[in-house]
Amino acid sequence: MTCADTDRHFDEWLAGTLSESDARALEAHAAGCDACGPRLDQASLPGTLPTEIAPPATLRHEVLAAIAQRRRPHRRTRWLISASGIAAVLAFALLQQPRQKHASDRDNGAAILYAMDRARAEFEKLDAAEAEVAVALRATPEDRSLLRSLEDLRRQRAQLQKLVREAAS
Amino acid sequence: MLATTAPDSPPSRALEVSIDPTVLAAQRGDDLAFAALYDQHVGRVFALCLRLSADSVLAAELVQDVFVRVWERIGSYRGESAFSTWLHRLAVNTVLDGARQGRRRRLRVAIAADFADVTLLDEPATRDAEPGVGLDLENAVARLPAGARAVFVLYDVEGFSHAEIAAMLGIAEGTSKAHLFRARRLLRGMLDR
Repeated sequence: MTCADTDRHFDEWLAGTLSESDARALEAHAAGCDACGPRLDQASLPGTLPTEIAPPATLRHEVLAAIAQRRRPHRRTRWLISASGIAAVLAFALLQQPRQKHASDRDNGAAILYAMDRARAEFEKLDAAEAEVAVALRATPEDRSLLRSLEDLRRQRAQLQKLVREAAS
Repeated sequence: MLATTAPDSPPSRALEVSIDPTVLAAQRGDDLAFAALYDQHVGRVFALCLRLSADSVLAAELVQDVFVRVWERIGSYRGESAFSTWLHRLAVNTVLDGARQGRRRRLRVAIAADFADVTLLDEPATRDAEPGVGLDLENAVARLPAGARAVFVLYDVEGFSHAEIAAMLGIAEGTSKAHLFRARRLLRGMLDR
């Protein structure tokens, strides 16, 4: 087949009246021809296809539930975050308690030292948790639950640092 | 649309990148915004999945895969192209992902097997329609062999080029063109009955 053959047989091909063997030969030529290819390419088919099709009504719930399930942080990370959060509150309470009870300077000093020790332990936990999340993020850099965990840990670190600064002043 | 470039940026660096506020909210983890994006795009994604798989149950599973992947990767969208373009390319890649298991994997295998069988180019291999029953285009597309159907849907419906389709499906451009013609010939045959 040549381009001239395409000119000669195009209408028959479009109408579907060209013999099967000639139609295949014409299509084989057009598939490799920059002139005839687009011509056959643009030949319209009867009917149109809608760009959208309504999905099953239950699918929305299923998709959003599947995403919600993936949002939960990893169990180990969740435990670390929870432990750090509780400990931060404890540290805060320890730092505030001596002042609230108007205890002696000596008692206050001992309590603050104890709280500082606790705070140091919390920083170590936060270091470990951040390292764990960082490792997990290297494997899945776009995992938003991990990114959120990292933000939580950094927030807790900032909170703890603020408490320590206040206690030291 | 929200321009993310600072208004006082130097002209040489002022890339006019704008991201839809709903997309920005979804990137920040707003569930309602993500649900709105789902509502906005699911019709087209479902149509793509249904046409590529020709199976409504599998299509629903594929839609779920697509939106989970969108959720995982939405943070990487930087507005270089329209969000719908980004999402549909991700959808096509997800559907054609050969690493999936079960029925999803069988779809990929069916498409690859169709391309591998050169005799199919000469032998219409459509699923039989009931004699005397006319088909509309949608039903006729569903009856195409998997490979021809994939090329037809990606080229004629989704608007990808033969070069893009060849890269997505791991075939030569010429093979993509040949299967498009094959698909159209088979469709004409079914629709003219």
